[in-house]
Amino acid sequence: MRPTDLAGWWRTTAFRITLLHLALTLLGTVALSAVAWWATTGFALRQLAQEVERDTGVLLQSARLGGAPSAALSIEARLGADRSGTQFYLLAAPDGRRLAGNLATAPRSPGWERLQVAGGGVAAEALALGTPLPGGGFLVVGRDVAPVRQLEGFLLSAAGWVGGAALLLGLVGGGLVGRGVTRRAAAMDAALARVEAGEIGHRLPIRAGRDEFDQLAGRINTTLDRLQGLMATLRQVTDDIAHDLRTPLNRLRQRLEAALRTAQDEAAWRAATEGAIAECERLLDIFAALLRIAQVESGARRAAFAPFDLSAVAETVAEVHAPAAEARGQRLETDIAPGVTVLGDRDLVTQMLSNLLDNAVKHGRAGGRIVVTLSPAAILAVADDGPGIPPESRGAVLRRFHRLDAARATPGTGLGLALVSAVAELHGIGLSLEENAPGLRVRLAFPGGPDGRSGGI
Amino acid sequence: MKILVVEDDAETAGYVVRGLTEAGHTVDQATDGREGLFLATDGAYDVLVVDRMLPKLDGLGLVRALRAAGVRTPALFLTARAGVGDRVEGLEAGADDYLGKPFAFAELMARLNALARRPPLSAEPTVLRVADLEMDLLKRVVTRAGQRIDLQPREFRLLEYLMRRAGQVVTRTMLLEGVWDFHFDPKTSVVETHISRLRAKLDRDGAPPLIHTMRGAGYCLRAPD
Repeated sequence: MRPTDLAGWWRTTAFRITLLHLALTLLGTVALSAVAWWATTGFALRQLAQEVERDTGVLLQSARLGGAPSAALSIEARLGADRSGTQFYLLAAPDGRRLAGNLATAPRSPGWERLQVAGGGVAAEALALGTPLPGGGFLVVGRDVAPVRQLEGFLLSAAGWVGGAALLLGLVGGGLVGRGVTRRAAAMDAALARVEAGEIGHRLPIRAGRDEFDQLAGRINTTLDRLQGLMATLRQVTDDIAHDLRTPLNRLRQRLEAALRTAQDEAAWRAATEGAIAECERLLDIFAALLRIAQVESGARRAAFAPFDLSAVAETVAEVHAPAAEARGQRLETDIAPGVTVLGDRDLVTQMLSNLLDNAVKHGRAGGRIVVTLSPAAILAVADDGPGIPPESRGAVLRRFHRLDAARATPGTGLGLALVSAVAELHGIGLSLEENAPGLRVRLAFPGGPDGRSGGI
Repeated sequence: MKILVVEDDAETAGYVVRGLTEAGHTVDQATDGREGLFLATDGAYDVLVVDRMLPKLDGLGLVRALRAAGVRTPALFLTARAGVGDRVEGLEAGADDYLGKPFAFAELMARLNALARRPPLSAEPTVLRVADLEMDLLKRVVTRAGQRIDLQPREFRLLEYLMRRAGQVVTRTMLLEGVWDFHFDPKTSVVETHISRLRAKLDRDGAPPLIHTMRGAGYCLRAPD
């Protein structure tokens, strides 16, 4: 779903968050109002009851000291002073006759009572306390609860206003936040759509704020960088393969065509077939090397890493290449520290060293000297005294199929150093091509050693 | 030998079956993993040739199932997937050898012969003998006609490998794997160099040669004719 689609606006995260936020705000307002209502009106009613009790106490005292007439006097005085009309009294004689007060009738039961009073044409509700008098009379003192009801009404309307305002604010705020979120998601969506459409170099906008959206955009941009790099490599490899495999395939074809044209007897056919098989063999070698490099570069082999004796591997590889060196009149010298153990893929490291020695033998000076050294700190070096590699070409020779012009005459696939580079990368081995004055010195700093990258044992 | 070839690619299967039949072996063929498992389970074969990528049940599954069922027939994986990890994975599944496509037929033949005639591990000899050549594996001493021969460690390993497979053809690749632990071809003459050095040490004073070169296939250690 595209966040920009109007039909789906209610499905956006921003909308849902706003909705949830509003619901919570409303719930909070209602809960707060309920608590406030309960606390304030309860308090007001209690105040009222206390006032009634106090008044009843005073009037009882008056009746005790001066009898019913004294109490009646006190009541008349109170009613005279009460302008708000919120006080209600009834003083009844033992025979039920009203002695004083503004209540026409009242139940003659002791205790609290809610009375409906029709006073002054307006119906009112009163909180009343009935008390029997010594000597048979009866006293009722009441107060109008209208102020409490007013307070309730006020609280209710206040809650309504506050709740409404919160709702409005929440809606506006949620809408603003939601619009911001939706807009940024839409911007990312649009940018990714451009990448998807083929603009692989396009990147997501990142603001200075560095909030979570910017972090996400940054991460997506890094991923896109990596993808772009991989695509470039892929294109490079595809071009290389198309270009470099055409040559041997052409040779194969020419050979077969020549055989078709000129071969007369069985011996000639046999020679042509053998030549073709040898050419196929070379092609297959190139494919095997390419596949191996791809496999190494995918990094899947790291799971099979185990400690192995690098000294033994170096000795064996030197021994295996000794006959080839001898054939070119070269001296192959070794200075290998015993018992150096590293973590890695033994087969791959073996092939890496083998490729380096193969290079040293092929491109080193005929009759020259090749030195293989391994220090106890797991730094391995293969040095020859051939023409070397000019400093400006040292990066390029690690690429697939790259061959120096000077080396074109020697047989090779141009993949040897590419595999060395891939294996070094996989193992975290520090690979450097150095000047041996004269010649080339390839230095491998295995991880765990002083110059190697981390990850060794 | 009675050989079962489990391979779904008709061309490769035909090539292998034709070659093995011409070499005088009885060959059965299965085109998918399940059929292969069914045929191999009765255990009547001397050796199995199994492709790794098969329909219905893949090669790894087939060999695992066989080993789980207690069938110990030696098996060789024949596959286009000859990456480093694939070989280890195949051997761990219970296969006895691994050969990447494309391959030379002589290589396959030599490996199958070696597998089928491999002695059981329990009968591990301490002294190997071929004609008047003797190798004491415990004392690490080699003598010919009673005369002690001094060998470098690698030469000793090479000779041991050949003597354990006396009478069989051993290819260059098998030697690189078995003696040097090289699972790829370094394209050097290291095997040839060591063989010729070993010959020089074994065949002193005009003694008849023991190591024979099999043209286009490899080497064979056997008593002189």
